[in-house]
Formats: sequence, structure tokens, C-alpha cells
Amino acid sequence: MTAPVRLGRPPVVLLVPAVLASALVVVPLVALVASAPWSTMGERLASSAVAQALALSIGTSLVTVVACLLLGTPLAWVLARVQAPGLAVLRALVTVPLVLPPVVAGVALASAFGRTGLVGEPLRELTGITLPYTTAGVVVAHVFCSLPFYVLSVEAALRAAGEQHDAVAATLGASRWYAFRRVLLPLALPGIVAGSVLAWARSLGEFGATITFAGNFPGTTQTMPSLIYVALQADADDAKALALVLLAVSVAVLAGLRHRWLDPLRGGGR
Amino acid sequence: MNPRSPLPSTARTARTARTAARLRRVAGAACLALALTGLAACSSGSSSTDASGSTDSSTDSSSGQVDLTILAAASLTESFTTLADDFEKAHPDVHVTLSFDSSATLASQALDGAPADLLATADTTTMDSATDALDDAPEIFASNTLTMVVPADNPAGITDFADAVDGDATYVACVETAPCGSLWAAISKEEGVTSQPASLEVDVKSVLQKVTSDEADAGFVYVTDAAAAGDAVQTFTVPGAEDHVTSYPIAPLTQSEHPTLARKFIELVMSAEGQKVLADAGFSAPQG
Amino acid sequence: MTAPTDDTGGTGGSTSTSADTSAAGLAADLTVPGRVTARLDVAAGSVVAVVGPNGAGKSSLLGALAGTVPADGTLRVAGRDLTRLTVPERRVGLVPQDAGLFGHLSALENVAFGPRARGVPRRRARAEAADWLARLGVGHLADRRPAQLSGGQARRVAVARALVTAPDLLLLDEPFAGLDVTVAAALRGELVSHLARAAAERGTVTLLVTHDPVDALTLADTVVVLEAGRVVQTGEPHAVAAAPTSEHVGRLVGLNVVHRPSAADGTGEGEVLTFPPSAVVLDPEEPRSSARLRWRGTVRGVTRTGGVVRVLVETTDGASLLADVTPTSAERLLVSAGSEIWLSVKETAVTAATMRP
Repeated sequence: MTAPVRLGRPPVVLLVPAVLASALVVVPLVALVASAPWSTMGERLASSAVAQALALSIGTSLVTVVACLLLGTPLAWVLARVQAPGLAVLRALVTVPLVLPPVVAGVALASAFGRTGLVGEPLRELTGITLPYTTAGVVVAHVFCSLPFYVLSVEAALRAAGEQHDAVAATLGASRWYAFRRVLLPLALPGIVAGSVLAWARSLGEFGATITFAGNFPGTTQTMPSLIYVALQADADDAKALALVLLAVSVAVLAGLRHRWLDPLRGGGR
Repeated sequence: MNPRSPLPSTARTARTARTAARLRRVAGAACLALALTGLAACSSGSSSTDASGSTDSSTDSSSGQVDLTILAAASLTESFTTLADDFEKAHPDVHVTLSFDSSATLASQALDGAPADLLATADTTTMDSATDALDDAPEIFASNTLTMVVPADNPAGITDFADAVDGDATYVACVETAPCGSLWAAISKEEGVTSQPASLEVDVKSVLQKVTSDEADAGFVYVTDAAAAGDAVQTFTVPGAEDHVTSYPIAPLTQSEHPTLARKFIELVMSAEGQKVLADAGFSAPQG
Repeated sequence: MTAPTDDTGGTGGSTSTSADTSAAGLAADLTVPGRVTARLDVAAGSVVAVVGPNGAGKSSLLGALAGTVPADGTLRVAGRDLTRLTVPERRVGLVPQDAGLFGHLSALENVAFGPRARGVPRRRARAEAADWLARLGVGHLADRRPAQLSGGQARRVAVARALVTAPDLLLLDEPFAGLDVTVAAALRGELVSHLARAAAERGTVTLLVTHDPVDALTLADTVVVLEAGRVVQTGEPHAVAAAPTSEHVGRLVGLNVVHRPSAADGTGEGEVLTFPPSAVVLDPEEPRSSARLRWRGTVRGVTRTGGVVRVLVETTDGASLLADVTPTSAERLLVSAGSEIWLSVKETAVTAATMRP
């Protein structure tokens, strides 16, 4: 190891808030782990509802990420590269789910895709498909809440990749589609990975919009957060045990990804 | 982008006076201030209603008033608001603050030492879970039964209970861990219902919301909720509902700073006057 | 058909051959609104150096030629009308200022990108790329990523990447900026032969944006001086250097350039006066000499090079002038940044030229 660069002591004005910030995040997590009913953990988690909810959460969050990749990447490209009136408004609208209380998101989704919703009613009349109370409805709710995280991340990465690369690729004879596939996408990969992780995390923890729009039924629409909320109404220790499972899954995935993929997240993305 | 963030009124007045860039900073500072001064504003699901209807802060110490805080189950919203008004008229120096939420949430808040004087829940199980925080034995002051509601225009053309649970109708009920859900579970078992609800909602208000928004053909809620919904729903009786009642207990909390006043409020609830308010809201007399 | 090594020559209809280069070349009349307006008319095989101060519109002109910056007007290259063509259809090679290599591709893949994008099979594209890397002396770096290349190596790869597509017009944006002096000199020397070869084989017109007069003198056969979005001078490099009409070029070649209005009332374009810094005399007070040309100003910089002290003075009418004095007189005059001073120059040391209308 070479000696670290000596730029001077880290300033206290930065260290103290940093310690406070860490404590704010770490202490509740530690407290959750410490107060969990470890002795009865096995029997608390042995119900089929837990397995169903966990499988549903993992499944829907992965489908959500795929949906973000397929729909969000093109949207991010349009926002980053196309100049057209109204796109600034579109960008603002796309980010609205970030600030929308999840329950409001659920109400909005019901107004659009519910049985009597703007899109939902014609959809049901034409195809017989309804989204509420279905796993597809859960995914729609998750995509609604996760997409902004993904799109913002990828749009920033595409902008960072620079329009100069577009220009050079074009002079070399590349169509925009070819340049997108062969230049922009690879260059934006760190942002795409970061966006996918954010979207996945948001999806895994999504609760308000899901339960409001898609409902809560074991096996079809009851995700881990819904199950935890329900458990909280009856037995806080059950809820803690379930929360630990969700925590363990997230930590395992994030830690597993970290070395290979998340370095750009920490390095600022190049 | 103009987020409808729950800013305090001071930040909202600033909106008109300053530029958008400035507003963003103000809003950011306001959010930060909220986060630093307490997370109350961030907690979901709880609604704190000021009984007097004014928008004053609940603790107005400068006026020299006594503040009585009551944690009450969500289904008591209408009746307890009326009772709090009556109580304030009888005791002009008292200001009643009501906090409505699900019974389980309130019970755990009471256990965590929430600064409140009384706890009123929608069933005895949740009240029992808060035993350590109770200053006195709970008293049953009302009971509630299950009923079936359908949207006002009854899109599925439901004619009765059997029609709702035997056909293709989409119906919703409470999850079994909620008091309304345990009633539903008992009745559906007794009636031999084989179909499943489309969703098990976490509380009775969510069930009602699914019905009033036409997202469900039918839902099982308390009689009081059906009454509060008024013309937004049609009501059908549920067979055997009268055999499965949930009892509403009320009890003073150990952390209360006004035990005498708390006692007086319980007396009001149990009085003929209080019982009439509850009956008007659809509650049955206390049973058991 | 994009292979410049393909000795059968251009098989595509749009490819120019040496036979018609005299009729081809570059004819541009372009306006980027608010940025630059320029008319260029150069023969096939020309190397044009575009010089001018920052903000003169050099990059906009380059973008307008490449098609990446929206512009009004017309553009013909190698007998083809490019005005309405998209960038990929224009057959223009672009080497951006910092080389602009694709960071996720190796040097070889960078160069092979153009042929691949135009549909050349993978193996052949890579063979062509390897050949071009070797020609530019970086064949041994084929597997390196751009981050592992030095500035000079990256420029070579970028030039190879542009030339492999056999462009009709090659655009180089500050090709030597930020390079070590010796690296720049070596690359400049090689570029001369590559540009000459492209010109001879295909009539390729090269346009390079630069702020270094050495580039213009060694690489270009035509110099275009841009100032404030307009072409202020066009000509052969030596002619432009000998009689600059703009302060920017004057400064580049080490001459003072002053505009003198024709009319006594200060109107009209009039004459351009150029004179070397050594002809300027400094005085602490208004000189009593017969010199007609005199200015008062503030010293903005003092640099000592060898036996000469070069003084930069900002005159009261806003011009910047250079004066070379001996260290002794600099000391005697107490010249230092911020001091007030008078400058004068004898009419006999001044070259006067009438401004182009």
C-alpha cells in the first residue's frame, strides 16, 4: 500500500454531520435486528403466507426492473437527446411519482387503470382484463413508483456520455439506433445498473401504492411490505421477524452486486 | 414540477411572494426543519383532527387552556368529534385533541408513552395489548356489527349476501388481523362461504374506499362506516352479523396529566347523551 | 468500399476519383445563426486552417460542415450537395478536440467502428482498422482502451478512425491542443504525409481548427481567419502571416496590428497597420518625437525572454500592443504591471495595407 495523500485533517464541520447521518440510518437498523424475536424466529416465519409474500416480492421486483429497462431506457434517451416542445414538462411529470405520497399514487393508478378507470374501463370492455387484485396490477404499481428513479439515473448517464459521441458516431456512418446500441448504451451502463438497483430497491419496499391499487391477498397481491403492515396490526414481533427477512434479502443482493457492479455508484459513474 | 408537499402554512405563504428558485430552497429548508423537529409530519395513516374545527396548533399553552388528548379508533371519527365538541362546551377551559388511527397503531403508541389521556379502540384484543399503559380497567361503551355495502349504482346487480359471495362478484373484506376481519372470518366460516375476497384490506376504511371508488362490487364494513358513507353506498344485511359483535372499550392512560378530566370524558361517553351520539352514528349499545 | 487500402478505388457512385478532383473540392456558404457566417471555396485536396480567437465561431463552422450544428446555406463537397443530407450520409470525418474516442472500446474497435456501422463484415473491418493503426504508428496499441492511451496516442487513433472511412471532408478540431511540444511536432509531421496521401488518393479536403500559427504554416495551404463570426482574411499561410489584418493573427505571428480609419472623422474601414514589437518605443511621458502614432496605456504584463523584455500594454482606446525593450530601459522606465506608459512607433517601421472591402 502506498501512503494516502495528505491533504490535511478531515474538517469537523463535515465529520460531525456525517456521523449523525450514519447514526440516523444505522441505529434503527441495529435496533430492529436487536429487538427481533430471535428465539421464536423459526415458527414465526414458517407460515406459507411468508413464503408466498417473499416469492411475490422478489418476482414482482425483478419484473419491475425488466419493465424499467425496456420502457425506461428509451424514455431516458428521448429526454436526454430529443429536443421537442413539451419534453421539459414530460420530464417534470415523470419525476412526480418521486414526491407523490404512495397512497396518492395508488389512487391515481386506480383512476387510470382501475375497473372504472380512464384506461381500465375500455381495457376491461375490450379484453376482459382487469389490473386491480392481480399480480400484474402489483407490477404496474411498482413500475409507476420505480420508473422515475430509473429514468433519472439513466438520463443523467446518457447526458454524461456526451452528445459529442453521438456526433462522432454519426460522422462514422452510424445510424442513431446503431449509435445508441453500440456507443451510448455501453457508456451509460453504470447509470443503467445504478438505476436498476434503485428501481429494484424501490419496488421491493413499495407498499402504499400497491395495497391501494392492487389490494392485499396472499399469493397474488400480498408482497412482503403488505404482509409486514398486516402483521404489525396484530403482532409487532411477527412484523419484526418479517422485516428482518426483507432486510436480509436486500443486504444480500446489494452486497452481492457491490463489488462487480456498484463501484460506479460510489465512484460517480464514468 | 410542483410537488404537492405537505408544507407548513408558512412555506405556502412564501410561495406567492418569492420566485420559484427561492421557493425550492424554502421548501427544502421546510422539509429539513420538519425532519429535524420531529417525524410526526412524516408518519403515514394517522390523522390528527382538531375537535374544535379551528386550525390552531393543538397545544396552545399561551391561552392557559387544558389540553385533553384522545387516541380513538378510526371508526369513531364522526361520533367522537361530536362528543369532543359537547365536552368542550361543558368545559370551556378544556381543549380536546383527537388522534384517529387503526386500533393496533394507537395501542402501540399508547404503550410507547404517546402524550395522551385516553385510549378508545375498536376491539378488546387491541385494548388488552395496551394493558401496561392503562391507568384503570377499560369500559365497554359501544358495539359494532358487520354489514355489506355495494357501490351506489350497484354495478354487479347484487341482491343479497349469498349473491355477493357465491357469484362472480369482486368483493373485499378486512384482513383477519384487523377487528373487522376477524368478524368477517367468523361469519364467512359459519355461512360456509367458499369464495375468496379479491383483497384483504388492512382496515375497514380501505374496504369502504374500494367500494365507493367502484373498484369492488361489494365490501364488508361496520354498520357505522356504512352509515357514515351515506348515499355513496347501498347497504345489505349480513346473516349472523348480530352474533358477531366487536366491542369498543375506552380507558385512561397512565401517562395522562389530567386523570380527572379523562374520567369525566368517559362519563360523558357512557351517559345517555353520549350513548345517543353513538347510536346516531350507527353503533349498538354495549354488549357483554 | 470504404477501405482506403482498396486499390480498386471508389466503387460507390458518390466516391470521387482523382480525375474529377479539380472540379470537386469544398464549396460552402453557411450561416449558423448568431454564431458564424462563412463562405469557403477550396480545391480538392486542400488543407484549410481555420484560425481565430475563442468565440470566433470556429467550432460552429466545423459543426455546420459536419452537420451536427444546424446551419442555413449550401454545402458541396466532392461534387455532391450535402446541404440536405444527414450526418451519416455526408462522408465527413471528424476528429474532436480531445480525440473523442469511445471509452468502452479498444483502439482497434474504435477504428473498426466506422466500417462496421457501414456494414463492412467484422473480420474485414478489423483488418482495415489494424492496418490504419499501423499506418499511424499505433498498431501495437490496438488492444488498449482509450483510458490507457496518452494524449498523442489517442489523437493518432482518432485520426485513423476518421481516415478509415475514406471521408471526402476531414475535420480536425485543435488536433494538437494539450499535447506535449515534442509529441505535437511528431504528430504534425506525420499528419502532413497522411493528409497529402488522402488528398492525392481521394481529393479529400481537410479543415483544421487551430490557434497555433505553426499548424497553419506547416499543414495548411489555405488559412481562413475568423473573427466575431465572420471571415476577415483568407489566403496562403505566408501571405496571411506577413500581412495580418486582425489583432489575433498579428499576435499569433508576433506582430502588432492596428486599424486606422480612412476618414479623418474616424469612420470607414481604412487601413490596417502592422509593426513588430521591436519598433515600439516606450516613454514615461508623452513623447516629443515626431512619431505620429502614439498611444497612452497601462502595462498589463512584463515577460523577460533572453535579452529582451516584452511588455504588453492595454491602450486607452482598448487595443493591446506589444513592445520589446532592453532590460536596461525596462529598468530605467520602471515598467511593471499596472504602471501608466506612452507608446510610439515610427511611420517607417509600419506596414500599411488597405482593408478588404
